[in-house]
Amino acid sequence: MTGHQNEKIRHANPIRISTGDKAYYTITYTILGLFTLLIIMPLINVVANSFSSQDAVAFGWVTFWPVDFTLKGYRAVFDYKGIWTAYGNTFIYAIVGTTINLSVTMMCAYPLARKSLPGHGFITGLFMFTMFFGGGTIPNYILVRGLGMINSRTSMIIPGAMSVYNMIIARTFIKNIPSELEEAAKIDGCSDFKYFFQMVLPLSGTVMAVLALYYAVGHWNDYFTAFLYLKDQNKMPLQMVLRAILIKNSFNTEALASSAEELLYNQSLQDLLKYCFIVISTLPILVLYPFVKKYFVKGVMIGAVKG
Amino acid sequence: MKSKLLSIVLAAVLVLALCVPALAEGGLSEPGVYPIWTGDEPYVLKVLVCTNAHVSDWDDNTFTKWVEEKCNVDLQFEFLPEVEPKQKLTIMLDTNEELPDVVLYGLSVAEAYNYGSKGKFVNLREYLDDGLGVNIDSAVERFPTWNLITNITNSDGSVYAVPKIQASPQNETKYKLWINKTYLDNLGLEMPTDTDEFREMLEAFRDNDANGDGDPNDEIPLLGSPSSWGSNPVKFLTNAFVAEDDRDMWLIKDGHVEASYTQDEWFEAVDYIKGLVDDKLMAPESFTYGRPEIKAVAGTAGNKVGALFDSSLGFFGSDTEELVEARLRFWPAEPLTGPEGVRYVSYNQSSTSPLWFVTSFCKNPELAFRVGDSMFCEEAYMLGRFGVEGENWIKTEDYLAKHPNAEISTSLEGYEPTYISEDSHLGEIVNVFLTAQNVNWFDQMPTFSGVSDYHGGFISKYEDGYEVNWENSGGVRQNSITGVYQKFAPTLDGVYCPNLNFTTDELEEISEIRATIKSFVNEQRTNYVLGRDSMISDPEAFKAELETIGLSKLLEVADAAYQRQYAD
Amino acid sequence: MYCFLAIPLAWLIIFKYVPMYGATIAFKRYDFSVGILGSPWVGLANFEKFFKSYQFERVVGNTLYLSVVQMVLTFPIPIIFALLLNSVLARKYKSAVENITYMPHFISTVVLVGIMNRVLDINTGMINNVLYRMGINFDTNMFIGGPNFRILYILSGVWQSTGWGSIIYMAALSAVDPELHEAATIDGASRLKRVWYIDLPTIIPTIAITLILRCGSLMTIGFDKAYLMQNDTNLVASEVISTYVYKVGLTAESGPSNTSYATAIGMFNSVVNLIALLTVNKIADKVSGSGLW
Repeated sequence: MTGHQNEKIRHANPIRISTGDKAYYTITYTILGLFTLLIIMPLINVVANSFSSQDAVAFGWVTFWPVDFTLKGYRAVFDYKGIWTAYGNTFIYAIVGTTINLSVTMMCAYPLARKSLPGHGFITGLFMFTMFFGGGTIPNYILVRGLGMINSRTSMIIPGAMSVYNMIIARTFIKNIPSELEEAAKIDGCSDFKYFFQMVLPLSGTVMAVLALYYAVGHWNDYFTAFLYLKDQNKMPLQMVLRAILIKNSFNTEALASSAEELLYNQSLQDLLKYCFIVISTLPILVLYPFVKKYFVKGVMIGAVKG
Repeated sequence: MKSKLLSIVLAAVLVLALCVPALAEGGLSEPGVYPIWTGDEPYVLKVLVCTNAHVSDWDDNTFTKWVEEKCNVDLQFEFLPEVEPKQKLTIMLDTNEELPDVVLYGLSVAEAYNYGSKGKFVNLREYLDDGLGVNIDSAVERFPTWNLITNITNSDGSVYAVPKIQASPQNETKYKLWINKTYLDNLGLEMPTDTDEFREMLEAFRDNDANGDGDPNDEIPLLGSPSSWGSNPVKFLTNAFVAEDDRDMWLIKDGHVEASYTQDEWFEAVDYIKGLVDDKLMAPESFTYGRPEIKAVAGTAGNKVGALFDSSLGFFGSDTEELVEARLRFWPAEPLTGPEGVRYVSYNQSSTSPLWFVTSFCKNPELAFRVGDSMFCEEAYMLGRFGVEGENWIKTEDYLAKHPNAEISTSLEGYEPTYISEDSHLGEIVNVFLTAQNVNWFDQMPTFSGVSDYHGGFISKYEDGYEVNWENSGGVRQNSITGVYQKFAPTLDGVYCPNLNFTTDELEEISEIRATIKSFVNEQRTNYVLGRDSMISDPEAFKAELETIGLSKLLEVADAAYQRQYAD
Repeated sequence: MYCFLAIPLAWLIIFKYVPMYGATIAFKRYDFSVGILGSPWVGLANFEKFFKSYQFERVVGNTLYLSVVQMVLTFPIPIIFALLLNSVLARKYKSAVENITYMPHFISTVVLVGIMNRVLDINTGMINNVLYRMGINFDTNMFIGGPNFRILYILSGVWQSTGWGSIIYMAALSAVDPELHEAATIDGASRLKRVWYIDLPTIIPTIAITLILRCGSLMTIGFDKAYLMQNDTNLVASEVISTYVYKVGLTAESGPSNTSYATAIGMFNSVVNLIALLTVNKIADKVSGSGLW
């Protein structure tokens, strides 16, 4: 966010907005406004659906306001025993996981961002190769089992300790830190470690915020790792439990005949639950996002240091 | 002091726990004699099942206890996750993880063979040959045409599971036609009996104000859906020309497997359907709609749809008056006769599917097999499907003894109603099927239904005079028309191609051709019917293209499998 | 310096390179009972089977077409969006736009496709109804035919990913030196010019890297959305590699040996992706000097 700098400009030049700029701002505001409108309408529809009766949802009666207001969908989720444990687990996995993700990513990105490091190209290549080629599910499972991590919480964090994609992004941002800074630090007798902790990390606030968001959302939405490696119900994360609830409330005709079909259909909350899950899954990110944006402002520091 | 005592107790418990398997001494009874395990202590049998939200307690479960008491075993459960259980099981099998004695999970015959032939599951052939499967033998003897074991026998004669079967006439003939009775009445028309009358009826729907709202142009004469249950817009109609099932579209002609889609009659059928779309008698949406869309169009008070393809119209549900009314507007039609007098229904015979697998880790596979067999009977089916007699279902005579003024009617024409499993009016019979319960294993049992589903009756008149009949129940209509549809099943004149089981090599050879052809035929047909680019406009080119994909190879392999399995 | 790399490298070797032997099943006939290493080699047979398969041209063509068009259209949009948004002065307006536009990212594919089906329904859809009331008889069924599939697939992608995709550029834009703007404003540069000469150059390295990485997924069209939007009438455009692999390799009917086949197809995709990435990287390096190495 660049609110500060813009404000500065406005204060410095209160009457300087030219006619050309006026046109520019008008067009910009209009485009953004229309685009936002286009996005928000279906979103409101999602929220309205999540508070409507399953019949209204199945029929498509809902537009922008709940029809036959009910909390049935949310109740089905929050009445599920173990839902709060699952919430707690997801928080733990997301917080611990993201912390480890960020540490490993930055530890990896920093040296690889330095052209002075011999072999940095080759090592980057080694990392990037794994973006394209991997062993597949079976060898991974055998490996994790061999390490004794099956049904252990560590399996939710360690095998996915870093994303190479995110590391490359981080590397790009670190590369932008002017090299004069490092040279100056070196002259002052600053070690690599000190430089990393005292300069690189503080200056990478913006990209770390973005990556934290990426990683946290990844952990939040991850169900496959849990599906693969976990067994105990009390270790399962939210997404796994949400899927179980959906299956419980789904309508699978194939197995059933005649009257059972109707009975099940009437009990089926499947359509409704899909909407509730979106709301439930999006909420924490709604909370997280403003914090992330705060760091975008800190990124201004780079300019400040440079100046 | 306290901790010392505790540790002694703990040690004692441990010793006891260790001793239990050792104590489980005993042998097996003679075939057909229960309990199967003759030891004093019940034999511990570990079973891997899929967790299920509808089963609240597997250990304290009526069905579990029934099996345990009958066989003198102690069933101990381990669980697969509810989410993607099959993928998890596959990973466990592929990575050679240790398995419990029994895997209770539905796999296809090909999958069962893949894992069984590589030694993961015990081949049950020997036990079957030795007559240890008494229930299975008796079922095969009573229903020789159902191919109960032939269906799941592999090319080398092996059988890897005790199967499950629910013979459900409703699901065998799911492609049905429903016609809006108010349209017929408004226009003074009769139910159509052949394809010409059907077309004339649709024309009348199109041209007139059939729903009587003053606008002659707001009617959709005919609507279906490619994905909804029994709503496919082409299956029902094609069967008035040539038999076509919904698996591989194969049929038996002169004792050999052939494809429906190369028969001359098939092309006539396609032209007939295209004519309906061209003349705006069938909505093109029938090829893109899903269930919610059909419901939204047909379920509103506007009464806009003249005829629907669907299994039961159960999707309307009964939540609102409007929906109940909408459903009752539609009356089921009988299968139509084609120009050449052909009158089939698209049919899928209920068949056995592998379910109870004895793993190679099991110390007593013979016992495990016989426990599986003990469930392959109607008694277990009734308990497992409906629940406890007297509470969840009741015999007809018992109900009538309690309610002398009530009347029970048959669901399926020609079958005596011997029991009742639903009571939507007074609620005396409690259906547990879809609730969280600990009565049964939610349909995941190697049970044998026999013809139980044919004999389920319904209360047509309650003690208090409340009536359930053709007029006020969509369910009654569905069941009674099912009886009619059953009469036109292509099994009856040997046209129907039953389940074929392939070897691993055969599968490798044909699986891609098979998937490609199925997708190709459906795609070309849909495009042709909708007047879009399609090879069907030149049948010879279409057939030539099928050859290019590998139709001859496919049919050759299929026929070999058919001869191997069914020719005697 | 290498100390930093110790942990990431150890992780890389254990969790990425140790299981890498699994990739060999693309060249084998997989038999689980003897494991991946014990399965017999078949050379390039699995690849040949794919190249010779009836649908090869269609699925590869469709995948590339969707992927390239999507890239051309959806890659620049988040950048433009970020640049416009960055120049907004009213903070509340800006904040509101930001907070709303990233949300579609969290909508599951099933619901996204469901919303499309509903809004564009030819009988009951909102769009048809509104147009009808405005006197326009829009009776195109958007779900029939290949071209319509492509339009819906790509537009819904724009709808869903623009806001989320712009976050990284917003972050990069925060590195713009405010003094540059002040100086330029005093010199009388218009806002548009400042976007062009100050904002855009700042984020060029980020754009280059995301573009390069994006090309590394050239042959990747996700399964869910294409599969859910598929029907017989649009297969000509909607049958992509991932849906094809599912149909021939992963259903119960298809038999066990197809694990190898599916792996081989996946590896083919990866090779194409890698080549695309290396090519674009080279170009980017030459043009802007901001390649991966």
